[in-house]
Amino acid sequence: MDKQIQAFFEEAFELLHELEQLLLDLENFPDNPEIAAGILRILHTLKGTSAMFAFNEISDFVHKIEAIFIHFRDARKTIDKSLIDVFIAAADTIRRTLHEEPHRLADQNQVIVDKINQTFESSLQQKEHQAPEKLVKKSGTKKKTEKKNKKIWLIEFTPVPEFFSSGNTPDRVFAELGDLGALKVECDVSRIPDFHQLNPEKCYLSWQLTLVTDAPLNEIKDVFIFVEDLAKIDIKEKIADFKESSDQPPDIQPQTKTDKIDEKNRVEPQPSDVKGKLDKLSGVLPQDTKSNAQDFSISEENAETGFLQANTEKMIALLGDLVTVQSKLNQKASIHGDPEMISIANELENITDELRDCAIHLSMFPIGTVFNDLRNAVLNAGKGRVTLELQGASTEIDRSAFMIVKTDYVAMFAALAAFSSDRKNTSQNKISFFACHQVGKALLEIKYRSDPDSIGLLDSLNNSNPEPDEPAFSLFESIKALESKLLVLHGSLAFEKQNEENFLIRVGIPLNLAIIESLMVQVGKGFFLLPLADIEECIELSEEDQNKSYRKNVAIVRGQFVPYLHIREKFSVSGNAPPVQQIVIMKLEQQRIGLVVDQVVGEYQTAIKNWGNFCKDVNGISGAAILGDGGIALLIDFRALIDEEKELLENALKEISHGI
Amino acid sequence: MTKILIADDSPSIRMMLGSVLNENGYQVQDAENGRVALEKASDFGPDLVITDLNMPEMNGITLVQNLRRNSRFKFTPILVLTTEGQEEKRQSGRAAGATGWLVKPFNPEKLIAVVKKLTNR
Repeated sequence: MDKQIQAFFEEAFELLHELEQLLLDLENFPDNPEIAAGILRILHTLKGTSAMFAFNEISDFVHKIEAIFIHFRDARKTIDKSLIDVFIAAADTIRRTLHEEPHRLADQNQVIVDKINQTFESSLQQKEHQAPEKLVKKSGTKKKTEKKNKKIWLIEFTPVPEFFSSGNTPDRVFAELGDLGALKVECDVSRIPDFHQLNPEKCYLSWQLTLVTDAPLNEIKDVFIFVEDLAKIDIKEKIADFKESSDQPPDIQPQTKTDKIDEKNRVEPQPSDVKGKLDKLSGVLPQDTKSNAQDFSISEENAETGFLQANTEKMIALLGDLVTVQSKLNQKASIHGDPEMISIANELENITDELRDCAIHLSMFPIGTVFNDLRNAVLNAGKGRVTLELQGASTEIDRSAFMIVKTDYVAMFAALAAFSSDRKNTSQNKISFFACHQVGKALLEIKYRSDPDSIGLLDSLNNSNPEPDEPAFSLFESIKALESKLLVLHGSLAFEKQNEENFLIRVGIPLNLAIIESLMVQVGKGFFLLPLADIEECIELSEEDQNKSYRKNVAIVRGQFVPYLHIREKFSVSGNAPPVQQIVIMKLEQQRIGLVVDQVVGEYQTAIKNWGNFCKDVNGISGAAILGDGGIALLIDFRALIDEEKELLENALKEISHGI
Repeated sequence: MTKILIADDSPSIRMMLGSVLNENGYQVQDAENGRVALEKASDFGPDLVITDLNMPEMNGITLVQNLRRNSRFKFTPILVLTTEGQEEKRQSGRAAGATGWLVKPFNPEKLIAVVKKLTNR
């Protein structure tokens, strides 16, 4: 630092020399604004640098000179020779002080100091409306406010559209808040305009932040110091029961409907993990913080539909096109045998594969991220009397599709919990949630265990609509609301009584894009895919085999009857079957059922696209995959197919059993 | 390494800022006025610009305006150095596109805290 102080001295002496020169020039040319500007610049620099090197008395002294000078300049008063003499004497005082006692203005300079002080005071009095800065010596250190107990702060942060033009970014604000305590960030995307009107340089987002911290309010406000004029910032303390031992934002606490912070769809940055959050936008989900829970669902749905879903679907459609083009290129390259062309095709294939993986990551999220919502729903509505078990957290689910039904799904959960808490013997009641993948869709199952009376009540929902004063009315309403949303998505909802103590609600949500391990089979010229996980084995089916079972669509495999369906017949595939066909034996719960195909092509890792509107009514097909040559393979919805042909299969089994 | 460009007409301030920032792992270049800073910015590609306001040839406000006109630095954080009570200057800096400000005098800890605030590093 000595070297730096030495540099400061040298610079200060140089500045003082320049100052004296300019003061003399000013005496000759008192109306020259450039000279006045030069003097002010030197005084300003001298003040700043001396303060930076902790020569505070010099800094204060220069500040006074500067203030007097500004006063005379602004008042358009002529700085006469006597005043210039005072300034020059002051410059000399500074020089001598720097030589002798840089940290204290020496006593022998007191005359000049007094004179400057007098002039300064008098100039202040004349300049009433322009209050000068306080000449209080800065301590340099901020007085720490005494830390208090942890509090919950609700912060509404709404930047102006031009926010980014200042070089500020919200994530820096969040990162800094995260350093103060546990932070929950919820984003409202409802202001995002239509894609074609969207200006990527503008900020259309706003945030509701929940901060749990022991930092005082002024420390929180300090975080926003650079953005307070660029955003609407509303900081309020939340008066709530908050366990001192907890460091988490209150999303794990039971909440009432009046709480503005809903737990739905949030990004959960940890204090040390706020950066990178808007990889984020894929995880940032909408919220209308002004609305209650019901209103929120509308806002959320609109925003999702307008933004995430539309763009995800478009991206996936484009990806499909890309795969097709890439396949064509591969074929051409192969035909031409041009090594350079083959190399380019391979390169493109790698990029397409990576892009496909990225698209899948963007469009999917693990269902476990909404477990907190489910817990809260059960905790609040079930009044703490209902046991909840959650499984299948890692099951990936289509983001845009789930966002449309999420509010209704959680509401149904809450309604079931409320129903349960009002029943007798609630200690026996249990809600079990399980999620898994099944042929191009995510299956969300709720198994509700209760007493036979309660299960009987729920079972009656299949046959009659309850009245508003009946116990299952709310649940029935929520199921219907969810069902209507699922219809739009081509999803499914079914509920049934499993036995006297168990009731099952099963929701199927289609996957817009999923990769599954599948077995490709061929029937005629068409290709079909079967999920590998459900396949037990493949066996041959000859004419002789079919005759053995009297062509009753039942195979005898190691002494066991296995009913089967002909894919060729089921989907009216033209042409003749080969003499030896293949039965792909699949497992459905405890049953083994076969599907007859012409031949097995092989195992594939397949990217499945949703079947879409055009073929939504084709039962037994749940999606499609684009093949390497640009053709498509249809994904068979094995369960739907079996459900449809249940009677036929059962009859076949009965007949063959009786026949033999 | 985060790159910081300093523009200040005071050699001692430049030296002090450079020293503190270097010690804290930042790569620093400096310039004695806005014009030189603008020239250096193109080659150096700073992640953060720290500029004084009163400088000869090209002052801090003009530097900020020029940087913002360049698409490369449109969103680069720019910190202006002000002194206590320069509210008008601060507002001018903001209007020109400055990200934040640092009031002189400041100690090294304060400088590093603000730099971290604006660079996330």
